[in-house]
Amino acid sequence: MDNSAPTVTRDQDGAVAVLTVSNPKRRNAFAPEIRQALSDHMSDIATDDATRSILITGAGGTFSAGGDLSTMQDMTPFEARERVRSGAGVVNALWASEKPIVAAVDGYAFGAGLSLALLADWIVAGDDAKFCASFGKVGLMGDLALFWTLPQRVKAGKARRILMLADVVDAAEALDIGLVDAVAPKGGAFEAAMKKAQALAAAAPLPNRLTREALGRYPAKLDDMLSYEAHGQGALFNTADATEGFAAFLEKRRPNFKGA
Amino acid sequence: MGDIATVDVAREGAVAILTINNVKQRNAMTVVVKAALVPALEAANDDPDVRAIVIVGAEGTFCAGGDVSLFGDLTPAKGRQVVFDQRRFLHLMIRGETPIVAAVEGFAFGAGFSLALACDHVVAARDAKFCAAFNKIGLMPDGGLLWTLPQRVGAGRARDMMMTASVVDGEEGARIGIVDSLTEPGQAFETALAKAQRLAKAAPLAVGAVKAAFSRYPFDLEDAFAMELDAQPALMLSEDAAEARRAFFAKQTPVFKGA
Repeated sequence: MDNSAPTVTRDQDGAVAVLTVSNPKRRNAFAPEIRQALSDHMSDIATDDATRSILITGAGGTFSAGGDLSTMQDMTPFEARERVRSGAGVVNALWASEKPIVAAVDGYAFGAGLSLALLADWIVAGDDAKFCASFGKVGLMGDLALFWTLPQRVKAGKARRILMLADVVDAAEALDIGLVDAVAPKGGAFEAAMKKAQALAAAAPLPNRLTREALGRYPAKLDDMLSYEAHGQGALFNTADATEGFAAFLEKRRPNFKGA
Repeated sequence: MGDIATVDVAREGAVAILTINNVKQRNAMTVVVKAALVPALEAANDDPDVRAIVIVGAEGTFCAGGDVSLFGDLTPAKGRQVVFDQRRFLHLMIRGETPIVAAVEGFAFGAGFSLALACDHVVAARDAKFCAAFNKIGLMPDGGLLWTLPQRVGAGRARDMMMTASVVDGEEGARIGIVDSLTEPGQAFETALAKAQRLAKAAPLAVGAVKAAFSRYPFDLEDAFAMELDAQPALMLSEDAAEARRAFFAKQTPVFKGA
């Protein structure tokens, strides 16, 4: 059995950074080392101009089975508080990313693994994938912003069922209710995610940065969004990418965006 | 059809029909079209005999988007103003109290997609095509799409449509929540008109109060109570509520007059 320490590895495929959560002893449980490694990779990627999109997946055919219970023994109240507080750092690193994120989920996305998947813009599930907000089963409530991300994707009734009853949702139902965006045949999630990550990498980066930031302000009132879109669009009209986009549109060819 | 871009206004009973008519540019939302939408919507909202509005595109397509020929010369300040000015018709559509039905055939791309989603009810042909095409020309979504689309399809699909400019047809649109009524090609307008006529028979003050509440989305529980408290007592004392109670006990269909 692989006993290597919990970590997140980074590989690069063209403009796509691939982050793989790995904790082989515990089905990729979200150990403190994994939080730290994810945050570190995200800050490297933020300043890496060659990276245009990010793919997050789990090693060995499963995404992440949740928090690492073995590291939750004998915590004092303030150690527990610090642990939850540090989760906000990971959430922020992903949510405030200026580069879009896709998640490839095979096997289990339970507890913190579900929360992690929901921080992605686009989620593809292998047809064997199972999703569960399993927190209640171990006497806890959802965290890593699950109360904020989940109701943005699924309607109130489903969100309550998932959060309060810890029902397991399979890939087909997940697609049906909007929890994931696509389902791939077993073993095909990574490839589908890579295709989407490459499409996002080829899209114009500046508008998507602003779109991501605007949606990250959820919930927002109509006038806040109208104001945001006017400021953002005003700044975009004269960019080199918009000029390229207009030219490509008029010449009926594919645009080549540079992020400038 | 003539060469002059405009919005044609017609009436069918209590329904005002606004036709985006800029056929040469596949009904693109030029400055002229946007300017023409404002008085057309104002007149419909202000006329007590107009109880519902249908927005449709001329000659078999809804609206292909913005006016790309204009974009190249915009400074940031001018560009910001052009986008911000869209509030004038968006507020009339979203905050106005007259319900609006979109009849979509052909393309609802970019600004046309935003226009359709600023309506209360979207009727579309199976083969209609929706796309937040903005990214393809290096722009971000506008026309209120950042506010309307996630409400209809949830965060996942909204992000995908906005960030990869994927095209969604009428049938998929109905499945994911962009389209409320699906029709065969060529029948979107008739279906939209029938829907508008049903909306026109509903109690107008109550419909207006519901629209006003949705325009304030998202709100918390306290705001929901406050909006009920603001509007419901006046509705309870309205002539239409009295008419509804009378008709209920007499087993008749009520006739509402918006008073």
